Amino acid sequence: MKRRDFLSRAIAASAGVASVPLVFRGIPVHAGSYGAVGSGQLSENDNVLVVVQLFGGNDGLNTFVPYTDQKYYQNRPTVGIPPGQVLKIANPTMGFHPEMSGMQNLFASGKLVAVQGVGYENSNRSHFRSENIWLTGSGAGSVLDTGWLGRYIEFTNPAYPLQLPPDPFAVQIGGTLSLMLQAEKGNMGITLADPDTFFRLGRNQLDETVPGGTPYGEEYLFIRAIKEQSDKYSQRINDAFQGGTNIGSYSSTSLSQQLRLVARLISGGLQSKVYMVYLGGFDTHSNQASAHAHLLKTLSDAAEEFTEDLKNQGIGKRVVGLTMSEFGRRTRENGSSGTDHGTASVQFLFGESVNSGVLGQDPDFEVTDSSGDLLHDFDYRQIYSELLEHWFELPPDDVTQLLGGRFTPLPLVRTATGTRPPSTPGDFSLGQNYPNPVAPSAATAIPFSLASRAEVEIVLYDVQGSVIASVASGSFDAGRHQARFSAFGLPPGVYFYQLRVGGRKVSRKMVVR
Amino acid sequence: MPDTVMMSRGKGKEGMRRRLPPMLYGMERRTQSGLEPYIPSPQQPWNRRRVSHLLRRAGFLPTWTELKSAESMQPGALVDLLLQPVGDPAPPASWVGALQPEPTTAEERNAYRAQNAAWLDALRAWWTERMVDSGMNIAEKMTLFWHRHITTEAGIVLIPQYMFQQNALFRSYALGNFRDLIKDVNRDPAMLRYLDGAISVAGNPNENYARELMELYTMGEGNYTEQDIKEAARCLTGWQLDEFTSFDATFSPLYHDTGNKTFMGRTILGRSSLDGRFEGDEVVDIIFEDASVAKFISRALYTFFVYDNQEAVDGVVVEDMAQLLRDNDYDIRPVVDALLKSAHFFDAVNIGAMIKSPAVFSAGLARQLAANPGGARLVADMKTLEEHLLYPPTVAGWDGYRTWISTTTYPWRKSFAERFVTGQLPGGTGQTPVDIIAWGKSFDNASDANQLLDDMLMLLLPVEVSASRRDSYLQTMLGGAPVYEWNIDAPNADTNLRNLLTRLVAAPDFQLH
Repeated sequence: MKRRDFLSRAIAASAGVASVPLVFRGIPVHAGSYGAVGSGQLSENDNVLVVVQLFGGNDGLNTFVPYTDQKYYQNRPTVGIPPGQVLKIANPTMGFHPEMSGMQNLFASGKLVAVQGVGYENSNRSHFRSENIWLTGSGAGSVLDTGWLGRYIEFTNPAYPLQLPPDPFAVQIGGTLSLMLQAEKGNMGITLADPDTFFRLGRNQLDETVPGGTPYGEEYLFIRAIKEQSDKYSQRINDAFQGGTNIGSYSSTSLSQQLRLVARLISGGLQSKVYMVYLGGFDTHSNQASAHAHLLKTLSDAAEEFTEDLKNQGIGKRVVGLTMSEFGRRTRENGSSGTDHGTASVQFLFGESVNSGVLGQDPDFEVTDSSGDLLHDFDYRQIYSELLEHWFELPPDDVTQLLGGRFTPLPLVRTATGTRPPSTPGDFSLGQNYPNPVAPSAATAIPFSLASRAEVEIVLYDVQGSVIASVASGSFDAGRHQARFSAFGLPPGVYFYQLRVGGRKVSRKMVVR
Repeated sequence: MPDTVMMSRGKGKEGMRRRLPPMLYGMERRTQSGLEPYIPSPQQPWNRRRVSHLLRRAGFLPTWTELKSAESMQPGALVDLLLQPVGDPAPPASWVGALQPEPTTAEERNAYRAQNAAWLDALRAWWTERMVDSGMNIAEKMTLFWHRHITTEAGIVLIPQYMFQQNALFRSYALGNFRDLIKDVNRDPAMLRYLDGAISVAGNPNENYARELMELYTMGEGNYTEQDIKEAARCLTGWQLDEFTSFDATFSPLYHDTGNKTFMGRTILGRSSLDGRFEGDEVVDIIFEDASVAKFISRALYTFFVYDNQEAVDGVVVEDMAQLLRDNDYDIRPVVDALLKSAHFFDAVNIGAMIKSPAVFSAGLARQLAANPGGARLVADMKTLEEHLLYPPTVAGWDGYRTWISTTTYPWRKSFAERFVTGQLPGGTGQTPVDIIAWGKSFDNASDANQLLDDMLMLLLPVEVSASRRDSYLQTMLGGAPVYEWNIDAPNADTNLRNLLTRLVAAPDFQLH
């Protein structure tokens, strides 16, 4: 069987979500379907995703090393990791960089999955373009200006920004807010350097609003919203920080300290769904050996320390970490004892709820792109798709909508382990309104279905989070229904409609032309 | 791209990072005004608000005295004044040209490093003082523009003399010829160190600089091929650095690739001997034949002077700027001259819409409140506000625009501004604050509460505030007394004015200019 054929079959096999366990390359695939939590429902579990961005383009080949392949050493006579130094794992062909004992331990204890060959078609070698692709979830041929997690948060919180949730949706440790956390409605996360300062400086008087619609007005309202969030969340972050703890030691590196703060906030009960941390310096064009070793030790130690801390506190099952880096490096080293910008690479997920193992084929030095660099086996959005669908439990249709296409989830996390809200009046689903976009003064139909009789409400929001209308309200029988709604008098723009059933809710977007 | 320090983030190069901001659904997306000269009219009068707009954008925020002196001039004459060439400022100290002995022992090396770090600090403080002292001239603003556009990180370069030379290069080219500037950047020692040009040699060319030359400095991503990068890198081989012998780069034919190159479809004949150094110039000449260059740098100028979200308001101006630039053989002066005199620049839609960068914010506070805490302190403030001069977060520089304001930086901005007003920083060290009575008396008529308030609002905020907000400010200023009892020499005037100023600097639109 040709390699590509094998892969496409393997992926096809993993795509089937069935009630019997599937095994994909030795890893059990989700044993249950998401039907168990109600198709069409946004399950508001308390699972958390921590994104670890490795900026500069991490050299995957020297991270997860194909030490049994002579072609690796032929391509990398000076920067290659000698076989004797590679940290061995329960895998016949691959091992870790010698400084990565932390991840080696995580792997051995079933808390890490290595996904090989992650990339996308027509890989771009610009740091910034490729980073944008990863942060937004776009393909190489299209430019998006919203982040994949920003869209997820926006989608699930139609009342934003009129109603700020009690806790920030997402917290980024340090830096300017990542594109990953931005959406059409604005910033879907906050940035936080340290809770003490945030608390000390955060108290603000709110200012009057001004009309939007002009550049001045829009920027004024943007700043005012940041001010409001600083005020609201400084107290909440401080409470979580004071109430939280760390059990276990952390290295002094910036990344370890960032993750230590994340662990403490989770421990203290902060309900943010997404955290983002950052480690730069992976652009190893010259003399990469010592710099890269240091970076990998930093990453690997931090991942282990974080996972151990959460495990010690008994909260590790609801937290998953994901590494992302804009590209791997060239298979062949350059003349400066370094490596230039390459293509596909390995990424890791870590935590107690990952399907530990090695996913994907080992690097192939013979079937390559025109520059001699690695082809990707998995689209990076297959990881996103997995996390949205099985970690955050979004219905597959909604995942497709958020990612702009169907990307077969990779079997990376175990069926959601987070606690679920009580009261389950039965499955329900909410369909896309038709027609959409809606012409002004035209009617549109919103389909929904119920598994059993239930009290139902459908509410329409504008982008500011204001309630525009109650579209339907009352007791409905089991079965399919359509709520009809006239867009008469609505200004053109984006709206969200939300179906509420017994305290649970699901939302979709509607556009009025 | 070099290593970056932790806690910094890269997102986009010039062309990529300007994402459409959120919350623009209702916004009028285009104005009719273009690059044609602004002619005052009853609808768009040449008033103090527009004078202030020009001074704010072309410099580091005006003082009251400057604003008064400018308003007697016509717009064209005022722009001519702002664009007048100025001589080089006195350098920070004699070290800028002093060769250092090469350290030989560990002790000497440590001392050398410490000395260099101290001089780099001095350089940044010196530069910040130049911004505070910039008066009514555009040179320092343009120097900052070039630093933002053609980034170099002192943390990689490490040699303060190189960084000073580059700063002086940018200042000397403030409004000079863009193509000539790029040719000089090719052999700029700081750049040669930063992006590995000085270790890029025949047989082993390093692609680092060649890529960013095209992607970040001249054309933008997507206008060249990976092969073009490789060929340009070959042309640029041969430059060498030895900071213990000379602060200039030297060209060494021995290290230059003498083979023929094919760059962007053209043949560059390989040259031996010292003539090899002209191949880099040929690369630049070919790049500048591409239509993308004029548009790329015009857009950067537009977003620096007019509005970050260019797409929202401009349909034609950047295109016309690009044409003007090509007509003038890439001289920057005519383009900036036309832009700052244009109807589009003075269009009401563009007034008050720009978010102050930390440099404008910090230097502007020192200027407008006549309370300079010193260059070193301003540098430290700017670092906290995430614009650490000479230390861009990535090779693409700072993302700017809305990323300047976050839940981390906004509370700091408020606190730093308060420190200028009250002398206090919560939990931090203070400074000598504004002498508020003297400052108040520097306005036209400090004995008239209404006029004083209106003048302060004119100076500090970009757009007229609502009547209710103005009234609320007046009450704070009067401290509860009736308006006719206002007396700036009364004992409580100091407190009342500081209370007012504390409110003004915390307003969302104090962040705008």
